[in-house]
Order: sequence, then structure tokens, then C-alpha cells
Amino acid sequence: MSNPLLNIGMDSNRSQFMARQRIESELNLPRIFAAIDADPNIVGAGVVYIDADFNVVTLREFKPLCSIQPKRIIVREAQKYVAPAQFADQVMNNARESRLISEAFNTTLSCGGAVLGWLVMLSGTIAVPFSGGASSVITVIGYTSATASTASCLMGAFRTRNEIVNPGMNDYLDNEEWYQTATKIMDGAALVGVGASALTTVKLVNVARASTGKTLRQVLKGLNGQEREKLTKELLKIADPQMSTKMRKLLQLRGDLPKRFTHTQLKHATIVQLGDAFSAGLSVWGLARSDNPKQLKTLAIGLYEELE
Amino acid sequence: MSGVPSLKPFLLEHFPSFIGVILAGCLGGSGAISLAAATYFADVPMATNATVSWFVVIFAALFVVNSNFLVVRGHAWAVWGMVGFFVVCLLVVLPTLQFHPHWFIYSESLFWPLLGLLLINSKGYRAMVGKLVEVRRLREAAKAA
Repeated sequence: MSNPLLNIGMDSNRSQFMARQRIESELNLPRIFAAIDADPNIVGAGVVYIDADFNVVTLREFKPLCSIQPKRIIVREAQKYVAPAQFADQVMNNARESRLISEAFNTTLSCGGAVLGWLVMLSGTIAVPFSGGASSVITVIGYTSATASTASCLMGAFRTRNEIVNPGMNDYLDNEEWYQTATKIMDGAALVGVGASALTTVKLVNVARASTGKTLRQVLKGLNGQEREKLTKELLKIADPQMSTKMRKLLQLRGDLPKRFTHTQLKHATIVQLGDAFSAGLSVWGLARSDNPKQLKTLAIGLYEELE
Repeated sequence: MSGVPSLKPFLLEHFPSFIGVILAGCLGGSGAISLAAATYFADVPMATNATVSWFVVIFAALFVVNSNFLVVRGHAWAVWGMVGFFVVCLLVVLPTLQFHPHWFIYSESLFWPLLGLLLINSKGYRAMVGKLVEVRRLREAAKAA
């Protein structure tokens, strides 16, 4: 993104300087900061204000308290001639750009999975055409994983197009329980092929979700060490089902296998599994009107965070 | 052709066009469904539209998977399944022009089915299907024996 945000904090011209003066006198900054820091998810988030003349003013820099990746609250003032509803629409649709990128990213991942699935399938047929029993097992596993990954590839490509021609449909699907469940099952099956391990992972995530009351996305972002260890075990099992527990522990002790994936690694793994649970890197909180009695202003407040 | 082809040369030669057909099927099919939902059925309530589209996507995925699975297992006639799929995609996408769709989505939704048809028609793909049929014959003979 090459945008005016690069100039953050630098009042490079008079108009920006004036804008800062105006904003700082109009807003109750300590109260706003206190409100932000009260939410553990965004404590320390940076605050950027964009006024109606597109002056970008950084009210506070990001401090890495809630996460390492920068999070910024961006407050945008509407131009005076834009109606609030229209402004809301504008902001929501601008936000779409970053969603489009993450949809495309997810699609690439799941289509990559499909390529692997079909590679396994094709080589399975060529390499072991005669060993009846074993080959049919391989084929069944291959079939399941190829089906699921092809389906997620199609679904991802579908959602990416929707993001351009029909974004409302993605929002609708994201809010439906059945869609979330179906996606989880599909992506689990795509990764594992078959078996109970996928269910365990889904269960683990679901348990965490139920016990903490967080949304799925938050759970995936914020698993604690123990949970990550468990999930790592599951993922290693999935990666090599034949390895015994003893062997795995030994290799983990020797450092050949990770004992516990880092957040980033885990995130990468879970992205593959739980695809579009991650889709939104950005959420628009909604619109608020400022308390300024002289002129009511339409403000859009959004939380922007960088995806990996 | 005699015997089972060795794995690595076979994959190097044929996997690109094989997976190309599948990916073209995924991208073309999803593009056609997305465009159709946004144009022909734009007036349908979102709940119905989204749910039906979802099922159509899943159905398309199952169709692509099973056609290709049959090809892998050496049933040459299943190639016609993919041919039909691409033709249907083209037929669905082409008339959306009257709704003035997004130009990029429209053109790429036309591109993928054409690419798929081109790949299926290529010499390499035909040769691959021939070899897979051969492998099936050998497999059946081994089972019967």
C-alpha cells in the first residue's frame, strides 16, 4: 500500500499542522486512548485521523502491547457533501481491497492443496497398480483429499470473484453457521485426507471457542502455549501418521521436530485448514458521530491490522 | 505401449496438462457461478442466492473431481465430462455480457474454459489418457489372473 499513511506523524505542511491543532482541540484524546486501551485486543493500537481534506494525522503511534504486528485505529472524517449512508458505503467497499487480497491468498493455498492431492492420486495409480489392498486404501484417502481440496479451491475462487462482483454474498455466507461448519470439515478433510485427527483439531478449536467465548478468528490467533503444543502434536500426527508417539517425542527432544509451533507457523497451518475463517484482516466497526455541537460530523472508525 | 510407464517421466510429461485441466475447471466453473449469481439472479434474495450458489459450487467440484478421477482410473469416456463442463461454463458466461459485468472477471471467466478445452485437445493430454487406459487394462488383467 503506497499511500499517505507513509507520511505518518510528519506534519509536512501547514495544512497538516493546522489539522492537528484543530483535531487535538476538538477531540478528547486521553478519553479516546483510554477507551482503546481498555480493550485487551487493541491495547496500544496506534490512532490515525484522516480529516475531510485528507490530512493524515497520527495521534498516537502503535506500541506492541496487544500484538507484534501493527494495529491501527483509523478514524476518517467524511467530506461535508457526502451523506452518512453514502460514506458508510464508500468505507465498507474500500475495506474490500484487503479482503480481496486475503481471499486470493486463501484460494492460492487451497488450490496448491488440490495440486498436491491430484499429484498423490495420479502417482498412486501409476506407481501401485497391482497391489490390490494397499493401493485401494491409498486411492480412498487420495480421493477424499483431492475431492475436498478441489472443492475448497473452487470455493475460494468463487469467493474471490464474489469479492469483486458480489461482495454481499461472502458476508452472508460468513455469518451462516452451516457454512462455517461445512468449510471446517472440507478444509480438514483436504489436509488430512481422512480420519479422526481432523476432527480432533476442529474439536480442539471448537472447545477453545466455547470455553473462552472468543470468535473463531480470535481463537486461532490467540492459543496459549499448552494449546499450541497440543495442536502441534495433532499436526505432526497428521503429517506422518505412522510415526509412533515415542519417536515423535524423541525427535522433538533432539530438536528435529518442533515441540510447539510458533504463532506464525501455526497460523500458516491453520490457514490451510480453516481457510476463510481468516479472511477478514480488517473490520469496519461502524459509524459514530462526534460530539462536536457546532457541526455534526460523520466519522468512520476502522481497525486495520496487517496480515502476516 | 507395453507395461506400466515409470513414474517420474510420466509425471514430468503429463502432470502439467492434467492439473491444468483441473485448475481451469475450478477457476472457470467458479467464475461462471459467481457471474451467474451476480447477473441473472441478482434479484433473487441473498439467502436463497447464496445457499443455491454454494450447492452449485459443491456440485461443480464433485463433477470435476469425479470426471478426473475416472480419467485417472483409465476411463477415457470421462474426458467428455470435462469437455461438457467447459462448454456449459462458456454458455453460462457468454450471455452475461448484456448485464455489463466486470470486464476482468468476464474475460477471465471466458479464458479458463477455453484454456481447459485447449489442454484437453492437446497431444500430450491425449497421450496421457491413452497410457492411463493401458494401465487400467494391465490392472484388470492382473486382477483376473
